[in-house]
Amino acid sequence: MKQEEIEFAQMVRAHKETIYTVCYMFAKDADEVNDLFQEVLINLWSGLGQFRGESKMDTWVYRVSLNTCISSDRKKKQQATVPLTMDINLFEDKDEDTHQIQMLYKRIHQLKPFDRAIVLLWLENMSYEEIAAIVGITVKNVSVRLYRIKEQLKQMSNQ
Amino acid sequence: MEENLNTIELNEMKQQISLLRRKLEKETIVNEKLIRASMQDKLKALKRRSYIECVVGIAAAVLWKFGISSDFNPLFIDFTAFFLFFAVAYEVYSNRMLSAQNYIEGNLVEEARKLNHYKKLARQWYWFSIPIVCIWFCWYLYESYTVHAEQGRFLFIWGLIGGTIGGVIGWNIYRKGRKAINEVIEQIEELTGEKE
Repeated sequence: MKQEEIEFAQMVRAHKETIYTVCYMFAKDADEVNDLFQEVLINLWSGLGQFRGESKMDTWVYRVSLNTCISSDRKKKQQATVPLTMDINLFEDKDEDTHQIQMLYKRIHQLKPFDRAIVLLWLENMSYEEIAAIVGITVKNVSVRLYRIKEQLKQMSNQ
Repeated sequence: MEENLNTIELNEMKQQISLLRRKLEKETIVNEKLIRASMQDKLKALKRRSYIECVVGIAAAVLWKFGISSDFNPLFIDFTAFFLFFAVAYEVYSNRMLSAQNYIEGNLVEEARKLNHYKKLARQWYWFSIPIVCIWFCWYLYESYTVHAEQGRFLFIWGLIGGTIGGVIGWNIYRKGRKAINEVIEQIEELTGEKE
């Protein structure tokens, strides 16, 4: 492997949780997570050479992952993807931890796509400035939006 | 205000996302094969569709003009070849905004806007091309009848069946795709306060 390829493999391994979390929250089932995951990797690989380090690597990975998942045209993806290597199935497993994760998935998945992105970034403790830069709205708008999202989440819990 | 809203549910969500991360940390998730496939797939995945459409469109136009259609009216031949070239040019034009660069540097709103613009162009193409294809098909039948009268009936029946099935499938795909796009457009309007 060339140096660039080795670095890419290291970067993917270091950020696999971030990529998976975004794909999981935007997918309907395990197959879709697979498709989205690979699409994110393709976009990360395409952009690695141009990553200038102006933002943190984690923020950049989030940006590419969210852009890919929000803009993905699912019907286009009929090509075979290489399956993810996982011993767990977050859509079907029944243990208590997975149940907790499924509760989170259910809540986030009920939100609209952009709100899903905003709340995910917020849950990862990103600042309002960072969220605003990734989503492309003002900081004030982020705070208003988050307020509404939190209200929505509270209502969901009350139902 | 935020303090008041940071109730049990929100703290619970933070705990749940940490749980998800911890669970994922223990997993391999990506193997060597997946990483390699993604690196090799770069050009294929991003450009394959446009590339194939362009090659097929140009090849069909050239073949039509200089090959299979020599018995037909020259005006019909030129019109068909021109339409195929135009379709290729439109595909190239509408695809120019969908580059990997956008995903890397652009923000979510920008990206969704570009994608929606692309879809809008695709929609416009549907409305423009469907009547032309219908007219072309009638013209084709007429040409077929005048040049090869015995095959005219066969062409008409199978053309009608194929056209109807294709039309129903195409409309269904278009309708479902449009629903998803509308959701994203609505959200952009909500977030930015601007109408698309």
